[in-house]
Amino acid sequence: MMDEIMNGWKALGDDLHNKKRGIVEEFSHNSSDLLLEKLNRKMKLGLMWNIALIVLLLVLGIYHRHSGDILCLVFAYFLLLFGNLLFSGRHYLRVRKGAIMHDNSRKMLESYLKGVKIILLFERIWSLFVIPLSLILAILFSQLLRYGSFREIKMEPVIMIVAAVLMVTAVPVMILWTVWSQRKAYDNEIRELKEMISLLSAPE
Amino acid sequence: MSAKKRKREEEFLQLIDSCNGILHKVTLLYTNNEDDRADLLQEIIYQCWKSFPSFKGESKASTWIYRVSLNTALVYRRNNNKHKSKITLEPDHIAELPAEHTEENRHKDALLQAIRSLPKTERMIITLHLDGYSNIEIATMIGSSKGNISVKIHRIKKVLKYKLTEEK
Repeated sequence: MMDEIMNGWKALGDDLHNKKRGIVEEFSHNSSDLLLEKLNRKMKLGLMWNIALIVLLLVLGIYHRHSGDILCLVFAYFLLLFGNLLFSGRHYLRVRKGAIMHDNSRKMLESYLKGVKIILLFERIWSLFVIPLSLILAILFSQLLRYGSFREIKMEPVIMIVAAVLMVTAVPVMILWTVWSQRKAYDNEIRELKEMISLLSAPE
Repeated sequence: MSAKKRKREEEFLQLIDSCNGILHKVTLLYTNNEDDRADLLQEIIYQCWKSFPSFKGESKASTWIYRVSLNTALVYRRNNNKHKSKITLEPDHIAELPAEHTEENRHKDALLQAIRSLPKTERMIITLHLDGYSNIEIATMIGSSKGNISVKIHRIKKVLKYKLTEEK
C-alpha cells in the first residue's frame, strides 16, 4: 500500500511539474490577505489617527495658549495619546514586517500569533482607556470653554446626568462591543494557530 | 521601475517558474477550489517576494520555496471577500488528463483527497516526507524534534492507508 501511495504521489508530482510554465507574469507586490498583515494595516491606520489627534491637540493648545486651564486639559489629553502612541508604536515596529515566512514553521506560527495578539491588545487599549477618558476630557473641555476656568465651572445637573448616563451606558457598550467583535472575528483563527503550535511542539 | 529592480524581479520570476510544481502541489493540497487556489498562489508568491532579499542560496531554491509556501499555506484562510487575485489558474489538472488514464487519475484523486482530509500540520509533514525529505530535514523545517516527526509520519501513513483502502 505504501508503494501505491509513493507511486500516486510521484505521478501527481510529474503532472504538476509538467504543467504549463510562466503562469506568473504579474503579481501583487504589496497586498496580502493574511490576518496578521490585514491587522497590521488596521493598526497603522489607528496610529495615524492617533498622530492626527495629537497634531489637532497641538493646534488647539496654540490657539488657547493664554488659557492655563484649557492648556492643562489639552496637555492631559496629549499625554494620554502620546503614551498610547509610544506604547503601541513600539509594538507596531516589532510586528509591522509580519511573520518571517522562511523561518521554521513553529517559530513562524509563534511570531504570527504574538503579532496578532499585540495588535488586538492595541485595539482593546483604545476601547478600554482612550475612549472613556476622551469622553470625560471632552465634557470638561466643553465646560471650560463655557466658563473660562476650572474654578468657575458649575456643573449643571443636565450635564452631570448626560455624562453619568454616557459613562454607564455608552462606554461599557463600546468596550463590550470591542471585546465581543474581536472574539467573533479572530477567536477561531487564534485557536487554530495555538493548536498548530502545540501539535508541532508536543513530544509524543 | 528601476533597471535593477526589474532585473531582480525577473530573477525572482525565473526562480518561481522553476519551482512551478511545488507551488501547484501546495495550492492543490491546501485549497478546495480554483478561486482559493489562485488566491493562495498569489499569497505565496507575495510572501516569497517579501522573503526573497533574505534568500542567499544557502539552501536549495526548491527547499526555500517549499518552506515559504507551506508556511503561507498554514496561516492562509479562505477569503470570503470578492475574488481579487491577479492570477488565473487553469482548471484542476485532474480534469485535464487524457481519458485513457482514468484509473490512474482516480487513484491520484483519492490520494489527494486523503491528504487534504488531514490537519494542516500533518499535510505539511507527509508532503515533505513523500517528496523525499529526511526526518531530520523535516524536523528542522517545521521546528520540531526528529522523534516527534517519526511518530507523526508513522501515524499519518496508517491514516492514509486506511482511507485509501476504504476508498477501494
